[in-house]
Parts: sequence; C-alpha cells; structure tokens
Amino acid sequence: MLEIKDLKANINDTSVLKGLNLSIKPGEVHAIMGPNGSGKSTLSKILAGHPDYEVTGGEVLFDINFENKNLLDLEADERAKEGIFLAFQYPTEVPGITNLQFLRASFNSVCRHQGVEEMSEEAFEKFAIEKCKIVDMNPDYLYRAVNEGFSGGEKKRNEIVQMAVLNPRLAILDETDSGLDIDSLKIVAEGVNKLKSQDNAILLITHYQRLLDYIQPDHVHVLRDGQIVKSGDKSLALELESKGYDWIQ
Amino acid sequence: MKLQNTQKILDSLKQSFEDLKAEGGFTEAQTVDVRERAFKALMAEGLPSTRNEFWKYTELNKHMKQPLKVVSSGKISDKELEATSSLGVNELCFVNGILQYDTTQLTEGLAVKSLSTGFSEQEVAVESQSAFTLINLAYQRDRVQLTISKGTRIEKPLEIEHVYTQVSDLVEGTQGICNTWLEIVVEEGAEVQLVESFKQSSELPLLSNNYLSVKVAKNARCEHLRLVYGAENCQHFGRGFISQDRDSFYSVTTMNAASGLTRQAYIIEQQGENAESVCNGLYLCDGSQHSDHRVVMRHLKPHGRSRQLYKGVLKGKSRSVFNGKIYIEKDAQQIDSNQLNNNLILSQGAEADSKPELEVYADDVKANHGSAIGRLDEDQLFYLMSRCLSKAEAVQYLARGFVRDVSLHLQSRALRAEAEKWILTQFSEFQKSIEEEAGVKSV
Ligand SMILES: Nc1ncnc2c1ncn2[C@@H]1O[C@H](COP(=O)(O)OP(=O)(O)OP(=O)(O)O)[C@@H](O)[C@H]1O
Ligand SMILES: [Mg+2]
Repeated sequence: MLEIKDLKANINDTSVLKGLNLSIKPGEVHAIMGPNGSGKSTLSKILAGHPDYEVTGGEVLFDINFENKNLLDLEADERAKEGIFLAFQYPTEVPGITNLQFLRASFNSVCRHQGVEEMSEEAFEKFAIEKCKIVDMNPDYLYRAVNEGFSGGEKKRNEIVQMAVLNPRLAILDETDSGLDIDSLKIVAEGVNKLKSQDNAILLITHYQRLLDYIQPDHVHVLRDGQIVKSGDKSLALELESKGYDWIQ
Repeated sequence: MKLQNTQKILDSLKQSFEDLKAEGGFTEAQTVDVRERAFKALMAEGLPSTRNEFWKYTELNKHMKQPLKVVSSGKISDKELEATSSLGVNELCFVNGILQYDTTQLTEGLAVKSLSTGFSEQEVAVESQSAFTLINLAYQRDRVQLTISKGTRIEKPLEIEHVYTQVSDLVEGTQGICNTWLEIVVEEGAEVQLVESFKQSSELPLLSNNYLSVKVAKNARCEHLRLVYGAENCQHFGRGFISQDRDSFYSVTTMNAASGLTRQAYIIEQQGENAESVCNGLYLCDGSQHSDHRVVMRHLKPHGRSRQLYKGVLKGKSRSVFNGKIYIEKDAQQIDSNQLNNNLILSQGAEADSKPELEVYADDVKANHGSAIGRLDEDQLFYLMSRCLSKAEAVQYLARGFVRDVSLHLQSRALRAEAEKWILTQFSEFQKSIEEEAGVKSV
C-alpha cells in the first residue's frame, strides 16, 4: 500500500532524511522508534504533505484505486482524501471553529471526493457523538473550538476522534502516547485497535514500549539520523527498551 | 501647533449650548447646575489631544473636521415613531439617543426610569469627568436607568436598539452628535443577557456619544453584546464603567465595523471577591477608518478572574489601536487574568498597534498578555489541509474562525446567534480580501 524508496529530504537546507526505505502492506502495524531529532516527525509530515520540507530524492508510492501513484505529487488535502491521516505530535489549536464544524467539513470533503452524498448537520452530529465514544471523549468537546484550551491528553484523544470520523487507509500516529497517563493510554490504544482492519495500516511513532503492549506491531524499525538502521519484529522494541539505541550501528 | 479643528468643534459646542439655553431646552431645575458645571469644565479642558496619554494614538484634530451640532429633537418625528412601532416585549429603543418610554414594555423584574430629574439623589463628580462624558452631561436630554431587580432571571436576551434618524436642523457641513446615557443595575442574584445594537446610517453624518455604566451586584450575572453597524461618515464613541460585587459575572463583547472613527473604552472594576469579568471585542476596519479600543481591568479583591480577547481585521489604509491594561491591587491575591489581541493585516497601508500594560502589586497572581499581528497561521492551514480541506476551504474556514473566535466565546446561544448575524453582514468583504491575499478564489 505504501512504498518509500530512498527518501531524502531537507528542512531549511539541512538534510534530515538521508535515504529512507519502508514498505507497508494493508492490515499491518508498523512501529518506528528512534532517538530525539532522528527524523520521525519529519517523515510523518512529509507523508502528510507539509509544505516546509523539501524532498531532494527518492519517491513515495501509494496505492490509489489499485494503481501506484507518487504521493509526493499530491497536495496535503488530496492525500488526506485518499486516506492518509496524520495524528500530530503537537495538535494545532484552531480558535473560532468548533470541533463539530471541523469534523463535518473534513468528512463532507471526503464525501464529495468519493462522489457520495454529504451528511446533514443533524445526522453528522449523531455520527460524531458516536465516534467520541471510541476514545471515551465527552461529546461536549464537539462544541468547543478545535483543541483550544485542551490538555495535552485531550488533544491526543481528539486526534483519534478525527481518525475515527475519517476512517483512513494509512494512519500515522506521531507519539500519540506521549503525555498520556496509563488509563488514557489504554483507552486511546483500544480506540485505535477498534479502528484497525485488514484493509488499513497503521504507522506508530513512539519512544515507549508500553504503547506496543496494547497495540501489537507486526514490524518495528529503528530510525536514526534520517535512515532506518534496523528492522525486526516486536521483540526488537523490548530490546530497545532495555538496551537503548547505542548498540545499533 | 494650533489645533484648528478641535477649536472649531469647541466653538460649535459652545454655540449649541447657547442655542439650547435660548430655546428653553433646559428646564429641570436640578440639572441646570450640572449642565453649567459640565459645560464650563468642557470649555476649560477642551477636547483631548495626543499629549493626553489616553489619546496618544487617536488624533481628534485629524479625524474630527466638522463643527458639531447637538441633535436634540424634542419632538418625535413620524420617522422616529415608525422605528419604535414594531417593538416587542423587552425591547428598548433609543431614537437619536433618547429612550421612547411610551412604547417600552417590560416583563416583571425589569424597569426603566429617567434619572434626569434626579441629580440630587446622587452627587455627580462633574469636574473629574473626561471631555466626552462632560458632553454627555452638559447636553443631556435624558439619563436612563435600567434595573434588573433582585433574583430576576430573564430567559431571552433583552434588546436595546439605538437608531438614528434624519433631523431637520442639521445643516450641510456639520456633524450631528447624539448623546446617550444608560445606567444598568443588575441586582443581587439577577441574571440577564443584553444585546445592544447601534445602527448608524450614511445619510446622517453623526457622532454617537455613549455613556454606559453597569453595576453588577453580588452573585449576579450579565452577558452583554454590543453591535455597532457603522457608517463611513459616522463616528462612534463609548465609555463603559463597570463595577462588580463579589461572586458576580459580567461579560461584554463589542463588535464594530465601518464607522469612520471608533473610540471605545471600558473600565471594569472588581470591587468584590471571586468576580469574573470578560471584555472581548472585534473590529473590522477598511479605507481610512480608525478604531481605538481601551480596556482597563481593575482587580481590587482576591480570587478574581478576567479575560480580554480583542481581534481586528484591517484593510486599506485603516488603523487600529488596542490598549489593554491589567491592574492588580496589592491585596488582590490569587487573580487569574489574561489578555490577548490578535490582528490580521490585509494590506500594506494598514497598521495595528497593540499596547498591553500590566500593573501588578500582588504577588500570588497569574497575569498573561499576548498579541500577534500578521497573516493567517501556517500551522493551522496545514492542519486543516491534512484533514481533507482544500487550501481554498481551509482559508475560508480560518478567516471566519479568526473572527468567530470572539462570538464563540459568548456563553449564551442566543447572543452567539446575534453575533454571527453581525459577522455575516459585516465580514464578507474582509473574507474576500483574506482569500485574495492567500491566493485562493472564493468557493
Ligand atoms: N522547522 C525546522 N527548522 C529547522 N530544523 C528542523 C525543523 N523541524 C525539524 N528540524 C530538525 O530536523 C531534525 C529532525 O526533527 P524531527 O522533528 O523529525 O525529529 P523526531 O525524530 O520527531 O524527534 P522527537 O523524538 O524529539 O519528536 C532535528 O534535528 C530538528 O532539529
Ligand atoms: Mg517528533
């Protein structure tokens, strides 16, 4: 479904990704771990189409209607409509737009793109309230401005509500577990598990093994200095937890 | 430098005063003295110049060019009657600054009365008033007191409409001035929402000069929305003096657009513990419009909370000033006070000044202020696009969101709906400019 080949990228003329390869199939869960500043968020933002990063080499193929398309040719919103979803490490506050308005605008954009009927205000409200339940978020938050004044943990939950509404094919969760207490972590992880299927894939970016106790990865990768330097199964995460990153060449 | 225009205005005010006196306009015995004192103080003090710290960014001599004529239609014209005929229950209508008592119907617990015969009841500290309040006092026709009596809860917002109609005695080249004086008393435990609208009309070059005082008693709540539907050749001046007793809540949201010159000041004083104040605003300026907003938030007692959120959108060669002050008295511990002023600048010629001030004498307090001036936020744009919104849609949402930020902070759904209506009529041209500037077409 996703094939990253020798991806190189700069930000402000410094090279951050230095030839990254990764292949993800439908139904898989991949985890990327790595030290601070190794390029994890950079990778996730490039996949989502952030305009600040300059791709200097390689390609990213994404399966769109059974055809491999270069994802990098699409604008951020087009990628999202094709099923790429990024749960941000630091979700943005958007004053003046309620969560409900925002979710409905997103959802209806996808409807238009897929040529299906848009959902009415009333129907969508019910639908969104249901989706809040997936991560046990109080529906009152639907009527507040997007992420404004939310705690760190509430913002992270809100990202998963968005994921539930959009039902993406590839969800990239950038440190969704950071800043969550253990109870919230369980709830969020269970939410993500409910959204998992044979047709979609999940890319988890995390520093902590504990998330992987709840969302079992099929593959674990170590990202270091802009490259994937080691891949393995979930036992690799346990090894990293006890030994750190220094033993990897 | 001689301030020719302001001198011309003072002369015209002097003339108006003589005329009114000659016409026998001032009859009530008790007010004569106050009028004379206010008039004398005004002539002695003159109109404020930019040397006055409060007026540093607003040069009256530049903005006020025409002689003033006090609009004092003693008789109500047919047009004025027309404006008040369709009033419903709990709707007050001020025509040219004068409340129409006859057509006012209020539900239980609400009352209006005229204070202009009652200066003796309460000593007015005439000489300490600022120039435009002196004008209110010297030329007053009526001072209105609205009382929401103890424990009264009004479900639907109370409407206060200010309309201005053509007056026959306004000659070409002069500007009318309408003076409004409104005192609101929200008694203990009462709860009310107010929506006030000022409807200027371009047919009548007018300065609306508004004095407002609100006293919010113990445990009372008042949410107040003030909407100015301005006109290019009109000016809107207002001063609001708010005092709050303990456990009270008062929130005022002011939205202004299209007036040639706007000058609005609020002084909010928390005189009791555990009071909460909100002072929010939105200003939209185009052409050569000038808007000046001042807030002084005074925390005198502990455990108070206050919020100020002012947002501005500027086009053309317009100019805005926001000057917000947070003052915290020595014994006012455990205060949580917060102020934010953000401006969106849509053209090279427009300019926004933001002047936050903190004056804090207590040590155990939280007081924050911030301001930002510029364009739409890139992170927000990317966030919306990453959630399937095209760039054009994202810009449209963010533009609206920038101003709706203010209406969204209203607690009452009914007030929120009124504010949205205002935004709908006043914001569309600005919305277009934002979209143009971001390089996207309307969708
Ligand atoms: N906007 C930017 N301008 C300059 N340098 C940047 C910018 N964004 C990221 N970088 C740099 O790129 C490198 C990779 O950053 P990135 O955010 O991708 O790391 P990360 O692996 O996500 O780290 P963390 O675990 O701390 O989240 C870092 O050295 C960072 O300083
Ligand atoms: Mg990161």
